[in-house]
Amino acid sequence: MQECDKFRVHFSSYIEGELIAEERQALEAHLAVCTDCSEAIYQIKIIRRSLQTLPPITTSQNFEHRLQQRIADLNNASPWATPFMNLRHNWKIPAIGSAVASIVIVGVLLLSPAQQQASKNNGKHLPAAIHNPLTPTSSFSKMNAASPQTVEQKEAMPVDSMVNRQAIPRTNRRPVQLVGD
Amino acid sequence: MVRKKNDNKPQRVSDEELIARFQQGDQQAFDILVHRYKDQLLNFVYRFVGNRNDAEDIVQETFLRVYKNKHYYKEIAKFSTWIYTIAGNLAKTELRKRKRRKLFSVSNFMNEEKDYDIPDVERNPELEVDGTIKDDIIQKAIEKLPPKFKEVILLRDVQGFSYEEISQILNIPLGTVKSRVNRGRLKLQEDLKFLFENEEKSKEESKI
Repeated sequence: MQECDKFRVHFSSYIEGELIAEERQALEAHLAVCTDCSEAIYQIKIIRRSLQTLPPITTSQNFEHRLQQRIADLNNASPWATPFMNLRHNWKIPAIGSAVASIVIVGVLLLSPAQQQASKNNGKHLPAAIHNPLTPTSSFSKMNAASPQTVEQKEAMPVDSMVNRQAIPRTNRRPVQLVGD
Repeated sequence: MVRKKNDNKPQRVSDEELIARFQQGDQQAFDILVHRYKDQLLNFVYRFVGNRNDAEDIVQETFLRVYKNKHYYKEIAKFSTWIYTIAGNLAKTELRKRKRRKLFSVSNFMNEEKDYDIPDVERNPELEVDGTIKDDIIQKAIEKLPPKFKEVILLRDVQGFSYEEISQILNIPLGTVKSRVNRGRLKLQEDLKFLFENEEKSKEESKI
């Protein structure tokens, strides 16, 4: 069987007359003694002829008229309509948008209690949310451990920047992207 | 063979010249290209997706894409390879959509293989008079092939493209094309050999 596998990779080239003389002679010597391979070659030739003689089909009579209509519609479409049409057909864009919005909302809801807790504790000890692995802020706090700011300040920043920027004096505000540095 | 490769009429304008004229705004050049390619593309796509209406929609979409993206065509490639690339990609997308639909279909859990089974030997025991295999059986066998084998078999054996052209259409190395054609043919032979076993039995029975 391993002997057969060695020759099977050359079947197509042999059928199409593309094997070099040396390889062709070796294959023909094998076919002379192997009925499985010689039968397979015979069957592949018939399958190939069957593929080549499949009855052709033709497009329907109104094919070109329908295409012209679609092209006319394309040309007549108002320029602002296209992006909305694309959005309607490509559901992924609104789906991803909704998913991102949901994550932001859930994040805000999870962070709000943490912020309230932080302000209540007033720097005495770490807020409970920091120990909660489900709270997105925990990774920020760990990464910022070397920072001179208090943990409470760092935890509050992303929430404030998203929810209520006006509630914190401008001097204490940091850009969101610095929090996770 | 569906595709006519050797149309050497001297007055025939080349596809590349037509698309160049269309790129400059000649709408009639586009119409000629549609007329030239619509049937051969339909045959390619129909054999690929196995449904005539879907195939015609895909060919329509192919021409719309050519129309909208005409300026992306560069003369370094043959027009035929470019348009077959577009049609082939759309056909593969259609199959992927169907696969997803099938995954969520209740009937899928009830009888997964039914749609792709080759007809039963007893109901289709004979080859055609000329020794070829019946069209519906060969079509079922094509549909059963994995897409990467199906596309090369259709381009090579049904559409008559050279290995080099297939390499350009699918953007894969020449050696990969040859290997896939060989494996695709072996897969077809494996799936259809029962027909020949039946033929052998008939021969032996007639001798007795």
